Amino acid sequence: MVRVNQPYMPHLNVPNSMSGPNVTVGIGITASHQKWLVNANRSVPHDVTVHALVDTGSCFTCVDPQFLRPLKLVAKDNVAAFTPASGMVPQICRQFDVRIQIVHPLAIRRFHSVPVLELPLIKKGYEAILGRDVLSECLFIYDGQSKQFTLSF
Amino acid sequence: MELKQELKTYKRHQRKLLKHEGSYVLIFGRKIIGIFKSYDDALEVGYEKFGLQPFFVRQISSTEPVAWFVLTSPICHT
Repeated sequence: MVRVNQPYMPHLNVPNSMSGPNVTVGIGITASHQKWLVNANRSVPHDVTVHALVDTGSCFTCVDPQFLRPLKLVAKDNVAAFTPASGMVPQICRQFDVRIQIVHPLAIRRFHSVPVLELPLIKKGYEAILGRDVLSECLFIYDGQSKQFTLSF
Repeated sequence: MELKQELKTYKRHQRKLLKHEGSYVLIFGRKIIGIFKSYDDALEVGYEKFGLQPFFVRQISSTEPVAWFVLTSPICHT
C-alpha cells in the first residue's frame, strides 16, 4: 500500500509473542478527571503500564481490574460481556474513562478519552486487550510469515 | 450494580434520545444533564458538575452495548 501526502505516522515493528501481538501501553486518568482532582487539591494517580494484546475481534478495549484499581476511577457505564466463561449469561462489566498512550521510542500517541471495560483477564494470561475502538485510529498489519506485526498510529 | 438509577433514566428516555443517535448523553440520577457531540465533552461537563460522584455517559444507540470475547489460552504457535 502506498500512502501519498499522509503525515508521518510513528510505527512499531514488533515480533509476535507467544500470546500474539502485544504492545506496551500506558493507562492514566482523562484530562477532565485530572483537572477536577487538581482543582480539589487531590493527588493525581500515576499512569500504569500494561502489556495489551492487539485484538481485532474485540470492539472494546479492556483492562484487568488490578491495573485499573490504582487509578481510583468511578464507573461511567455498565456493559454486558459474553466470554467463554460466562456462557450464555452475560457478565456485567463496569466501564471507565481513561487516557491511553502507546509507548514508542520516538513519539507518544495519546488517545485522550477511551471508555474501557474492566474484565478479569490476568488468569487467562493477559493484562489488557486493545480493541477496535483504539485500532480505528491505527494501521495494524499482521505478518504471520515473518512472525511480527506493525502498528502505526 | 452501580449507576442503576442512571441506567433506568436512560432506558426511560431512550426513544426520545434516539433523534441524537451517535451523540453522547450525560445522566446524573433521574436527570438528563445534556447531549454532547463527543465522549470527551460529556466527561468534561460531568467532572465539572459532579466530580467523583458516579455519573453516566453513553453513546446514544437503539441497541444495548454488548461485548464478545473469544479469548482462550494465550499460548499459541501461530
